[in-house]
Amino acid sequence: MPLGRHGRKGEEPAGPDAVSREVIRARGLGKRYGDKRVLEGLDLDLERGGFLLVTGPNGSGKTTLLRLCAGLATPTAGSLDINAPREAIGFAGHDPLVYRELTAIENLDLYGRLYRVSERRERIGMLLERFGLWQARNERAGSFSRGMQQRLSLCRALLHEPSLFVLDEPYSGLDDAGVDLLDRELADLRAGATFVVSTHDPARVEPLASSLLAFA
Amino acid sequence: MRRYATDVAVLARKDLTLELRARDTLPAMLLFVVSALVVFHFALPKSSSGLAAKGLLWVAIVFTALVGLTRAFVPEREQRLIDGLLLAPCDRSAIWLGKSVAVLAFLAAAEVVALPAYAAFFSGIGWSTIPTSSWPTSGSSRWERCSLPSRLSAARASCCCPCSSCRSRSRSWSAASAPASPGAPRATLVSCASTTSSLR
Repeated sequence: MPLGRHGRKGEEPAGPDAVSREVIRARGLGKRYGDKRVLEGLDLDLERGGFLLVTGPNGSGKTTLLRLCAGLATPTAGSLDINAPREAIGFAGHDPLVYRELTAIENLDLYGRLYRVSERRERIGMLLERFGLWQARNERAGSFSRGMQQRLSLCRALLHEPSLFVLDEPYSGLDDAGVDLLDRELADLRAGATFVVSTHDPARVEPLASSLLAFA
Repeated sequence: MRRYATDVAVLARKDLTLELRARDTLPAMLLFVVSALVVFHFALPKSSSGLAAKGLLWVAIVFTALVGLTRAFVPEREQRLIDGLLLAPCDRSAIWLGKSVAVLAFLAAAEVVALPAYAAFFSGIGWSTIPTSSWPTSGSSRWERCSLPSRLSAARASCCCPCSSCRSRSRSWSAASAPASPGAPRATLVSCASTTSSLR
């Protein structure tokens, strides 16, 4: 499939009526932290409905790429177009991004209010039930195990029904039941959303992937 | 504007809840302001005017505000929770304003303790003392804006306009290309049999 236009730098973003086939488009993408170059010269196009699987050894730049795609970092070289508003991005990374002093319900309620989720309470209850956290809903997130925090993080990422999922090693910390649950969720959501997923177990996600990015 | 105010209220309420549970910042501020007044009580000569004592009250409150401000973003820094707030579609300035509201509330609580302590160590307080001591409180919010984490400023890729059209606009970044250098990690793009996305 052709890449499309090249050398697209600093173009005006698409207007609200334009429907772009590409959710993520990068040209010569680079990211540097001080003297350390983490990403360099990366070109990629991810179409709406696509599933980009990102693999590679530790320290190869997977997390950096996903943070760029989520809008949590800005590139130091090249261009990156993300045709998805912030409220349409669901991100789950290494950190669960939940406040330790708040309960599971309070954490999700906070994000639900910020994302203006409709029928917020029902949706929170449904997600907690689905991810096996309903019994622990009134416990502080700081008392959760690593796996429970990961489940809560996934609840947070799914809460506002995003159209672009950026998941950095989502299976990390999950037990067998959690892994099966996440497999089902990804399969259910696959048709209606775009995904960028990094994992150290690519075989598990590869059946869903439409493209693969392997860092050396 | 209503959405903006709602976001600020949600974020401020979050910070107040966190403080009520963790009790990290407010006890430190209370201890500091009382300690400062005790020290000033012994440091200030007996012949000093009441104006000097009020000046020291200002100093105590300003430094108490700084204690609160330096601790304002501790959860976001230590647990990297700032990412969660930056991902949310609320205006980035609402994060700062919500923190300001919370810190001002803590400072008001500190002044509830500071003013009686001032009356005990120095002169009695009158109605003129209360608005006088509120000046450092309002100034601290401007100070906090200058001391925002650089990350919050750096992450302002989207405009700060609260209107929905600006927030929902797709974002583009473009940076000057840097010359290629050896040793940087290389990425290999592999297309699967199904070519629903294009890679090179």
